[in-house]
Amino acid sequence: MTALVGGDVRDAVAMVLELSTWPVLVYFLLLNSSYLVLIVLAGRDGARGRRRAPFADHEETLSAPLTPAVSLLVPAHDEAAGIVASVGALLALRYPRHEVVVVDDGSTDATFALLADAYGLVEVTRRLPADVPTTGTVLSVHEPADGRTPLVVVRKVNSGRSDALNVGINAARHELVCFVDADSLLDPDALTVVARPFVDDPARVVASGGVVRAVNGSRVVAGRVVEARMPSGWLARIQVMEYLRAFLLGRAGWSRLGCLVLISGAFGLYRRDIVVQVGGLDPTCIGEDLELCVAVHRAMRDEGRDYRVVAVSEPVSWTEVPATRAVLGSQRRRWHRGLAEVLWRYRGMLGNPRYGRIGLVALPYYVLFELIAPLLEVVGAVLGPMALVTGLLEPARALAVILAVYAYAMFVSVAALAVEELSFHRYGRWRDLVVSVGVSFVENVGYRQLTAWWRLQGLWAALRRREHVWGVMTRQGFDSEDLTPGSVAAPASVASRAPVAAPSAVAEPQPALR
Amino acid sequence: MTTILVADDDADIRDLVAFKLRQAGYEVVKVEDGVQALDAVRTGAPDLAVLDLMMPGLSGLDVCAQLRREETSAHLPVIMLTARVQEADVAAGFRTGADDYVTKPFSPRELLSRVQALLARAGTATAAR
Amino acid sequence: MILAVFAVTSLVVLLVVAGVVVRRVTRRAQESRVRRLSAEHRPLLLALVAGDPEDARDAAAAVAGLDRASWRVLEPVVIALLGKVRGEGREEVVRLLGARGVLARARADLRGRSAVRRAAAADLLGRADAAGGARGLVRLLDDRDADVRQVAARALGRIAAPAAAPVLLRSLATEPPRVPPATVAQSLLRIGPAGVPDLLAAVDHPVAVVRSTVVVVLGRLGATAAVPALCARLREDALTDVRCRAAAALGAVGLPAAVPDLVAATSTASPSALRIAAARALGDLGASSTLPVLHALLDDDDVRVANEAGTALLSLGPPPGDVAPRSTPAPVGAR
Repeated sequence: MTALVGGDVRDAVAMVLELSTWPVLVYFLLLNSSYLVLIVLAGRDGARGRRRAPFADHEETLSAPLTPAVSLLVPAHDEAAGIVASVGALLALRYPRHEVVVVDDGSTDATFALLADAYGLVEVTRRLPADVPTTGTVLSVHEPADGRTPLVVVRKVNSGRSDALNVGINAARHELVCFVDADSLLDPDALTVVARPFVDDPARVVASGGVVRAVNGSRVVAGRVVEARMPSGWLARIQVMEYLRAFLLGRAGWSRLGCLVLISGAFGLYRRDIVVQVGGLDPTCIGEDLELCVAVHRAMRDEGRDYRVVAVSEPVSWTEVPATRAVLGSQRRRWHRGLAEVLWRYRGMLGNPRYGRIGLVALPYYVLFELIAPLLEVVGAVLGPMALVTGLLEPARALAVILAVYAYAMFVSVAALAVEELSFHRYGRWRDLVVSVGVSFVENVGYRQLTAWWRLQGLWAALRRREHVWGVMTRQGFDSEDLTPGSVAAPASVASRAPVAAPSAVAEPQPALR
Repeated sequence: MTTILVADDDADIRDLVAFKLRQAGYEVVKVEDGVQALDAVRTGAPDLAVLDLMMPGLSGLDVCAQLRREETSAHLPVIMLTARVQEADVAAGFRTGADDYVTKPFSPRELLSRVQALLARAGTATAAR
Repeated sequence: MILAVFAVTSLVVLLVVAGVVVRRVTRRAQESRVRRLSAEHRPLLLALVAGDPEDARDAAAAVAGLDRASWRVLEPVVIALLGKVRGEGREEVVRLLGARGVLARARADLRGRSAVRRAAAADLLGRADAAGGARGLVRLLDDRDADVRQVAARALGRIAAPAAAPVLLRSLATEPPRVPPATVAQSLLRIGPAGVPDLLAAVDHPVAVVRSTVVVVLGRLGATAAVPALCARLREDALTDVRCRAAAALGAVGLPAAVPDLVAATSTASPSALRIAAARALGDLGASSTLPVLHALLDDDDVRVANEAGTALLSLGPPPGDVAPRSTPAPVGAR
């Protein structure tokens, strides 16, 4: 093999390989070790929670007179298939005082008609305050005629999910707002669990994030997940584990360190006044939920205010993940581009001691181990095997690279699995456990590299500031839509489908991009 | 033989309610969750259902709402076991169509008398219909 | 050497997987063992809690006389039952726990080294509501562990000792409060009307959190005697938040005597949040004399005040003329 390569070229290539092993080695050791640290932290947190669970008493949240009221904001575009069931499930959430605000984002199907029929909606003359700037014109506001059901439906001209949510913020009556996807499934106690931090520490908590899990394959009855199961396709299976790690472990770990910068838009609870203060969601930004969270951090620290952003570690929200490579690739490209945009926008916070842990730890971490990661992952993926095959590196060196990149990652995956089993054991069937172990292997040999490639493309797109070309979104049960390229504000026709924050390679969730 | 369905994810409460009701002469069907409750109503046609409000997956509220949607069970008397006198739970329970509620921690004796009262009411209602 | 390294890695991974499997197997085995052992004596427990007084007494005697090993398996089940039943059944369980020394042990555990033990003991004593627990619980309000403090506060509410009200309020008076305000509020609610004198005494406490908690609880209790004090808070308190809560409380209590102050609070001179809270409170209060005021607010410049007035009017009676029902949805793009 070596004889095929010309002498000088061979030496040059050998030198390049030689030089790049150290950075790659160090990088991956750091990366995987950081995941391991987060997992251990989350595991300890989970163990602590379990020990104290007998007297945690969530019932108190339900009946305490000081429990804050919540407005659930649901942006809906062409959701006729499941909107009534969804809204019904949201209204039936166990919580002392909450309302559901559905924003019909210019649906062209029967979304509104179905809601009007199911709840006896009548139009009310209600002006919406302009607390947060919005672009889409509000057409009408409707409430159920019975006067008892806490539901509001706002119809507006199509202008995208972020803008729809901003309209929802304006229409919300209560002190907490919760962003929910129209097609996410929530556990009946989800709101109680996610609001608990606000009840325990009302002076400081400003945002609380729930866990999002992949629903594919699970048994769903009447809008609730009754049994969590592993799906049958390998792509979906891998994502189930990904979400598990990223949300359960990544979030809990970061939250423990006080560095949580991403709250899932599929189920995130914020104080309304703070969201208004930062101007709501940004329709021009692809990573709008990451953007909101970072904006909140910046505003709070600029004020010098004592505040907390927390994650709750019980599974509360379920969403369907892409089952085909095409859709998944498009999703990951989008997410990574959004990450790049947000980090660029808030680059002033990086390494800035004024922003405390967020500026000094969380955001730099995101830049080093999330943003740039795909580049190194793609390099690392080929470096080791290539070096081994071409013989241009000492076998020991090449092996070290392979171990750091693949084996360590596999170990981390399995460790995450162990923590899940010890702390949460939500997947009960033995079959699922076996599949999970299998996933831990398959994921690190192929899947991770594939997503790295997609993320690299997203990064490239962000760098070139190209107009984003939205891929066609197809999924089981989704309408396929042709998303037109154009100005970034154009994704009006994108249904709110993809889960908000996606897990990256192992632990870090990325922004959900709509 | 009057049959009563009891749905609760907590085994202790299930067994306690079943014990008390059986002692009073009723036949009792015990289920663990909302899905089983719906199945039991469809296949067994009980005369009354005692549903726990807080069950994982399908909650008592969800089950009650679903029962009211179906023709065969729309008139089934339902007693909801709610956590304390919580206005929201009670209001929600009545909104979805429950007929009565018993707060937890519950008194087995009180539950029994509510069951008997509801059955008596339902009995006269059926006669009137 | 290469092989050795690979072998080590695979071994480590396999060990972790094996650990997971073993853990799951043992957990399941343990659960079924407990279930099996407790199944033997379960009928006794059921009779104890839900049976007729005679059967209950017999069952109680039988369980009290069980050997140590059987009791060890049953004890967590019995303790759990405390939280699930009330009435005679609960009394039997408390008597049983006393007879087997569980309550005495819990009282001792209040000073235990482990925070989890202290909290679990406090929780048990709260649910058992046995005599003499209050003092130990009050001491735990100053515990160094936050969960223990919270559980102690909750337990004091369960015992509902009126003497605990001032102590609970004092635990709010630090910065930050030693116990979450929500827990204190819940416990004060449970203590109920007996605690109203203490609440009234604290209604103008210098610390804001104390004032706002007291105001909310008074409203929830429907304490008519508190209306003058609540009106004073509404008019004069330095913090808008407390004033808003006072408005909500007055709406909850529902005495018409509060109407003049609430109407005054809706004037344009008041902060926006207060106007909204006052409008909402007028709706809750439900006095027909307020209808003209609410109608006037419908045209207010502040949209949210107008919306609140509209919602209040909707809940107060027949819809006013300008809420136009239209049951057929307008097609998209018609406007």
